[in-house]
Amino acid sequence: MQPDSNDIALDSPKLVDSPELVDGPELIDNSDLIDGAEVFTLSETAVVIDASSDSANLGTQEKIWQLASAIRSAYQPVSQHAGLLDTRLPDSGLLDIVPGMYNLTLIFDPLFTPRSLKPQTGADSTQLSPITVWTKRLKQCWRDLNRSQTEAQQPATAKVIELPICYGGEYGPDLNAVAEHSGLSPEQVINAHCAVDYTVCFIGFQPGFAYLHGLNPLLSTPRKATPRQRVDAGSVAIGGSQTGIYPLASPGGWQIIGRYLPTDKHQALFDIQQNPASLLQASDRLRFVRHD
Amino acid sequence: MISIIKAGIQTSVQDLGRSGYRHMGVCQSGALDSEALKLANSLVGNPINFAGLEIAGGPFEIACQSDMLIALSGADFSAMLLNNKLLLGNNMSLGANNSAQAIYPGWRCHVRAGQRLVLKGHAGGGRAYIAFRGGLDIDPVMGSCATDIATGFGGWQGRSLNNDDQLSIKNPAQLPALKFAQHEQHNIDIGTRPLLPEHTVRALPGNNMHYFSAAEQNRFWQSDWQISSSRNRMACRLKGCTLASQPATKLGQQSSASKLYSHAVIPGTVQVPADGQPIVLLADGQTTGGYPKIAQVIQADLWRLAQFSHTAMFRFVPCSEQEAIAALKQQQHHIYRLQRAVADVDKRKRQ
Repeated sequence: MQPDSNDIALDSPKLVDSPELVDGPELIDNSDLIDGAEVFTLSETAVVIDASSDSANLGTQEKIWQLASAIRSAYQPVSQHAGLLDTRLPDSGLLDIVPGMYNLTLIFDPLFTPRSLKPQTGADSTQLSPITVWTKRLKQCWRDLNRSQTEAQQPATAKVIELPICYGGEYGPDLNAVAEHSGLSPEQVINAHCAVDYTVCFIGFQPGFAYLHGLNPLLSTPRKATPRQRVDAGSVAIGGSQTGIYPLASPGGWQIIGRYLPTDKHQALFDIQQNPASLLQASDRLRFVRHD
Repeated sequence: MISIIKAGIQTSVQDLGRSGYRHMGVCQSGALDSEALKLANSLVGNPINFAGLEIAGGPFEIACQSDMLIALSGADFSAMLLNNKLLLGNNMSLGANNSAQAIYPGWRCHVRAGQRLVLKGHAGGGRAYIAFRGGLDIDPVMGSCATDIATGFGGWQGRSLNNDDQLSIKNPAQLPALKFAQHEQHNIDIGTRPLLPEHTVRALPGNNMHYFSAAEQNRFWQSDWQISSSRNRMACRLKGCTLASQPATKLGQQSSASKLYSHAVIPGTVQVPADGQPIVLLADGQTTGGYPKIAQVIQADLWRLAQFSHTAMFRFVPCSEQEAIAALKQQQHHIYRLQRAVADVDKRKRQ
């Protein structure tokens, strides 16, 4: 099985019109609603906070980034450098902080009970399982964040990254298909694609793959009926209402309109020699610049 | 030093995987049957997360260029230790030159310089593991020696092994002493019974269960499943019945604006894409996903998915988070007991 670009659809028509997660009868036992977000257990190693039922917009996503950084500074302040053997706090057991779309997941060691929380004699040890501990901490951080939100928030100064893109021709075999579908000329498609600053919502699916917000709705084009066996690394593509850029060669069904060619000046989207290895990070702003 | 003579199928350097980089899309990697790697490492006195080899199919053959202590685990690939040429010194009791000695999963043995280790493989699938006392000498990338084959980094040059690759083994001098029985100065060592996959896989009900009608949920838990042939380190696709996911409005619930947004997925997440064939994510699985999730295989049972043969039928059994953690603790105790059994406690006291 290969991962298909179908999976990077945030708006897959198959999946819309679902109820809020909290409606699920299966979930009542292990879920909780707090300050407009729902916390639930993904597995014995992971808990998720989902803020999509509150409001699904960029403001919600910004809160997710703030939550990630609050948790990082509270429980994982050791900066991550490639090659460090263990980036965890010795008394934390937290392994990963993973932002998604309007949600955030904490992955932790399910057998690790922080020393400071070891049960006293007679205490109910089930209250101190890592699932409980991390659920509580996640809720607490979200609550604190919402409380501080009521005060004036400084908008974070986002980094703007410019990537030179070769549009069309051999690098963008589907540029004409996108133009045809949108009723624009190829030239207009390129201009519209370059005209916007995109926001990196989060990184997932592949190392360094950015889920971007901001595509001009005019450019929305359905995925190809038959996915390509191979999409080259650096390919810039449109799939439904999404646009993205592939860090690695992989199979994919998106319409390819151009390619990013890393140079000495412009690092690859994912490069383990760099720190951080991913060129794009959640909350970055991204601008495509036409390069002929 | 070991030389790869026959690389086998998708043989890769793996440890217990990496963490801390999922927010960059970097997957966990690491041994698919992590229990087997822990067991093999423990048998040779290594910490459980040392780098060893994972082999998905034979024929696999290595030449050992120095004396070493190794352990096998995981699937039974009919391993043989061959005496390549002459054997030196006082080990003639091993038998005539060119004799072959069988080694079983869950056993360790001394290998002399010049001997060759051959793993024939197993028609039904599964994965075999080899641990070397001292561990493979691999530079960690992002905190782990595991190979991320799809991305091409970590492990041995970021790829599966090829014929003629030469891998070094770290000096085991720093490791605690092991206890050896009298007879194993020269020959087969101690072993432990490897875990055998039962035909059940325990799972927590997924958090998108309301995408599936009660009838579809029952079909998931009551069907016999098989691993389809499209199986790799990222995921395995299941064969059995086809599950229909549906917008939950059809289940009589209130529709709302909320959609199923991508969130983190981890090894063991059972997703149901539009074609209705469930996919279980494994160690190299992507970090986020947007398909409805019907269940989450508990961490303690993930290894079974790595070891089921293509013909094996199995069922998913619902379980609680408490049971999931208890199962993990039980596995941890199994490894602790093994570590105590092989450690030379007397020698450590004398030091």
